[in-house]
Amino acid sequence: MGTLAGYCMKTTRSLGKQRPEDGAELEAARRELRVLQQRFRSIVERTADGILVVDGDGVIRFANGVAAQLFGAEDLVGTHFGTPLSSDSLEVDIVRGGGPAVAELRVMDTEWEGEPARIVSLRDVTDRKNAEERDRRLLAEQIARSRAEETARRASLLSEASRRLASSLDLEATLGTVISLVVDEFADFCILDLVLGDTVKRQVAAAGNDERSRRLEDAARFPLDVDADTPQGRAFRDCEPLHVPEVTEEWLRSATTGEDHLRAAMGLGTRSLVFVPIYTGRDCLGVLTAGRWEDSPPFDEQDFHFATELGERAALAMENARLYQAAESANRAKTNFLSVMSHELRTPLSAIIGYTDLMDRGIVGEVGEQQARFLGRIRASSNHLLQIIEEILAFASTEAGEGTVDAEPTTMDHVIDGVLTVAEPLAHDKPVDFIVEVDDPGLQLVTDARKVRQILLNLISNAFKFTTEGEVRLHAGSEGSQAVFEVSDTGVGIPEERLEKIFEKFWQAEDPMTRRAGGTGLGLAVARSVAELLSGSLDVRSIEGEGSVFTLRIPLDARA
Amino acid sequence: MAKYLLKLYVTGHTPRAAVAIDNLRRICEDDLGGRYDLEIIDVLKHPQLAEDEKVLATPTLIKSLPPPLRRVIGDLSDKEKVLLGLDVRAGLNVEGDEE
Repeated sequence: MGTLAGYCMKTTRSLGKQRPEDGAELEAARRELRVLQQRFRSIVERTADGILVVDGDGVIRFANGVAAQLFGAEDLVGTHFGTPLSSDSLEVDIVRGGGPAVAELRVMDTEWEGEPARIVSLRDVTDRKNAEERDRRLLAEQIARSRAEETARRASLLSEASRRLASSLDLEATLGTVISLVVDEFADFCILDLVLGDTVKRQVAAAGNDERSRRLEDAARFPLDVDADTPQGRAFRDCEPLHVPEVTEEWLRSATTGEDHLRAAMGLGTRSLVFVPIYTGRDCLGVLTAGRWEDSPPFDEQDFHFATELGERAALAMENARLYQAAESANRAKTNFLSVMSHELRTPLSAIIGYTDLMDRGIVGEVGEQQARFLGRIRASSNHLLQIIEEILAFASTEAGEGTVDAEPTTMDHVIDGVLTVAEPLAHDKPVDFIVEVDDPGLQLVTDARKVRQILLNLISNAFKFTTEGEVRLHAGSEGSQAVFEVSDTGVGIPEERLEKIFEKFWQAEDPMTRRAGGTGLGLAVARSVAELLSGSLDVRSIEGEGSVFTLRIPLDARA
Repeated sequence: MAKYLLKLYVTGHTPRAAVAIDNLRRICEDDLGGRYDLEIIDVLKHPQLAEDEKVLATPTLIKSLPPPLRRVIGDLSDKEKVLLGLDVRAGLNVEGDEE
């Protein structure tokens, strides 16, 4: 097109030099020129692009209408445009009034009036640029959104993890939960090492069950050496998590101890690893190792962060489980202690009671009135002490869940007799009648007589404690398939709001009124536990100021 | 050695503006040996200056000193073309020795 323009210019100039005599030729030439000019104009003015011709100094020698419009300038010819720094295409910002505009320039070398020049075509690409910008922003938003979703997913994963970890106080179960969480959601395999004193307990899990999990088992034979100068050993000692995004042979060399270990590790095909020490804030319990195979994406910063968070929660859960276990065994130890101590206390006490009895019967000499009185007091206190020890021992047994039922065939008579032997002395010190009614002495029972007596004695001694005048009555009968024992008294009674509370452990200690009566406060709690152990029940009715009725029901046949 | 007097016209913070400024600073440090005075003019902030200088498109870099006056358009990514366009002798350093 440059030559066309140039030709037009030449033709015009040469036309100017014509002599008037050359009329016809001149006319023909003029006609030709007009045609050329028309063709030129139609091309240049109809194209959608702006067209500039810029000379060697960067000055505009020609501009089409579109270019003038683009720059918002009417007359561009003579303006110093500048030399485009590209012989190909470049993008520029258009300077003109109105909004921002971007144009794409294409530069072509040409000739103008015999001099080197450039044709610059300009295309307004503002809309395209805006669209591109919009797309770019949209993409950035989408990426941000998916990142946010990923973060939310991770957060809910951690909540779920915490929930599952908190659901069990069993250490084994907790460890299992931790490992399966890691393998389900996060890693291809997981190794959990717990350091217990000198030994390291290891659990391994892998997603899927293929050749690789077999090789993992193989590599897992080499235990964690917490003292070794390996990256994971250091992670443990410093309690610092370690991120190995890309596992290299070199790294494996530093992490393994010996050729066999190295070979097994290399055979695994691990791509990425994370080591998280299980740190409770006081000490390091062990190390959680998470890994991904070669065909999985590596662990990134977010993954690493997630793993350390998970490690913290796991540490908490494991610490709780451990503490619970410790508390449990302490409790068991205490219970055993109680049993042993009770036994140790009962033995000398039995001697006291026994010898007192012998003396009272006059076996070692006549007993005067005062002596008899004193012996009576010794015996009463001894019995009381014995009862307390029995209560404590019973409490210890039920606490440890050791209560067993020795069900034997017996009769109502036999059960009651055993109660009376111990209960009768209690009536002696008080102006309170002790009435015993047995509906059917020969009634057959299959039960643990010793435990039934224990309950009844407890009820009776309570009745005597809280009754200063009137009577304490024991009624033994049956209703359907149950034996029913009622211990009623005419004592102070129990206010309605306390009716259930009295069966609570150590209740007595809280109540100043009952504290005076003495005892361990365990009695009724144990009594009810034992009743339930016998598949029965223990309940109470009471009217304040008038008295109480305790009802013990047990099956006639414990085996039923 | 005379100092280079340079004026770079850009439009706000378009990508082209950013790239041009970046490239020019580097060229100034590496090839003009620190002997330059550089002015960066935002045509959005100073439309009158742009009009006076008849800047039609940006980025436009005008070298007014040493003569001759030169004006180039583009993001200045091709260093060789820039130096050629500005009529800067290649390999010139502070001491004036050829590389």
